[in-house]
Amino acid sequence: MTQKKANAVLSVEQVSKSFYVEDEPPILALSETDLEVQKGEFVAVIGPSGCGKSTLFNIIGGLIPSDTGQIVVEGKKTNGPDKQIGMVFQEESTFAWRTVEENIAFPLELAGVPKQDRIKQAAHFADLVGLSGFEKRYPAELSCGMRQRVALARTLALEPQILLMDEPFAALDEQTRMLLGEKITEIREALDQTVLLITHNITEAVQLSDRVAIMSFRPGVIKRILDIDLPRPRGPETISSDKFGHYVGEIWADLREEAARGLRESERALADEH
Amino acid sequence: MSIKSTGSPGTPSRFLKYWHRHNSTLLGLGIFAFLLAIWEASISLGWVSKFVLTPPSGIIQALIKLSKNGELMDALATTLTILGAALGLALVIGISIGFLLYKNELWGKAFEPLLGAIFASPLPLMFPIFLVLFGRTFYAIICLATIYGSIPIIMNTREALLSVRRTLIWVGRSFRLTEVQIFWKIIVPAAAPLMFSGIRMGLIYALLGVVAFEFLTDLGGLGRLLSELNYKFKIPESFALTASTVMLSGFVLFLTGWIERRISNNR
Repeated sequence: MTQKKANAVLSVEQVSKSFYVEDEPPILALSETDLEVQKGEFVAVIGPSGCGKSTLFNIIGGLIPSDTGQIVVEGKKTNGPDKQIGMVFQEESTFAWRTVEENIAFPLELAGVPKQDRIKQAAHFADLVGLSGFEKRYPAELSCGMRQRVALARTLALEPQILLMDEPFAALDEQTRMLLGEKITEIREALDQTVLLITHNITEAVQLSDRVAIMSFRPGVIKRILDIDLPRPRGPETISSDKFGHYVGEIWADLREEAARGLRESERALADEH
Repeated sequence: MSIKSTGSPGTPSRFLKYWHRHNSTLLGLGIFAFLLAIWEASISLGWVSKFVLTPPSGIIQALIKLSKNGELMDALATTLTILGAALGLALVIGISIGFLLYKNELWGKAFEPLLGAIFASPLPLMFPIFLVLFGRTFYAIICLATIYGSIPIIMNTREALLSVRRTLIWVGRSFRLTEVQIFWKIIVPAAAPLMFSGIRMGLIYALLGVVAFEFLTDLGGLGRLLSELNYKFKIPESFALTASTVMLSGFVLFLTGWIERRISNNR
């Protein structure tokens, strides 16, 4: 549980969510979860598989309603997707029928921005995510990491205050993941954004975040919040430092029990099915 | 003595580049030309009687004859008009029903096996029913060809709309698009290639239906002309007309394939 702070840009207040499956007891995915994110902060939410991380992501993004509690953005309770929140999804989400430029310009097109301005802004955001020169390419011509950057640039084009990301690097290899992590940090600093990252990768959480919120296995609640006191930018030296390793170990100590419980429950569910 | 280089080492010549880009098309044309040559040679060398099989050169002459007296063009115009009407109706009916079956999951699941069964059944056998309903008119042909063409359109439209990934729809919601905007700006373009495959199949089935029913009813079009030429034992002309129908199918396939590639655009 967190203490309330005055300048929170995003607050998750007592959010609960259950899922109902026919002929089975309801599954309590989130239970009275609280989280506050300060302006300009990079917060990672980490937890074992099935702890309700993605449910929390969808509720904060306004894609699904919570059963109880509320999401507050800049002091205002949200009702559905909020224009201050930009979302980047775990799965491939680029539009295959649009070029990189047209993908990035999509939200601008919806906002009625004139074509010339759209092209200019799309070029700017393509450059920001390191995709200059690829504007006329289609997603199918790009690598997985590049496609995720297109999705990120498309979200950034909306210029949201809060960037909400659900394991955006999950499908990438470790090296690309680390490089893109650095890119995200640079972009956040350039745009002065607040970032909430949902992840199951401990190293990634420590590399990128100011604070790491550790979730328990089902029902998901924030078990503990850990401040990451490491200098930025967090290059190879920081990552190989004892302090970095200490944070990774500390988070794993908290997560291990939850992850083991998750594993036991999923194995039991699998055995029941058969 | 000077030796002209065709390119630096490792750089393929223009011919090789052209071959790599179009090798499947060139190979297909080569096989086609080879088969035609065998066909022509088998008749001119007396291996096969010319009363049984007309050589390609004879088919070309018969085709010119049919074109000159206007019979072929009249028949083609009739077939294309009927095909246009049937395809237009098949598109409207197919896309509308496909959309309704996508929106209503229960109805979609209920109709899926039924549509599959109709698609797999020999529809021309139902022709007498349509003759009773519409009489021996072009309406009967249009109606049956419409049914023939609309079934793959219905099935593919539903399948295409259902196959759009949930994440894409959520991207639309996160951009605060209305459901109508999500449908037109995300679902339809994402589903377009698979939908177009259905339209392409529908067009081919409608064409098959139109020519087959023209043949059966003896009303007009390529089918009727083919029936008449067969009846009069005009073998070269029959072959020429069959070749025209194959060329028409080939052209339709090429055209729809080209449009499909344009729609799919680098996916």
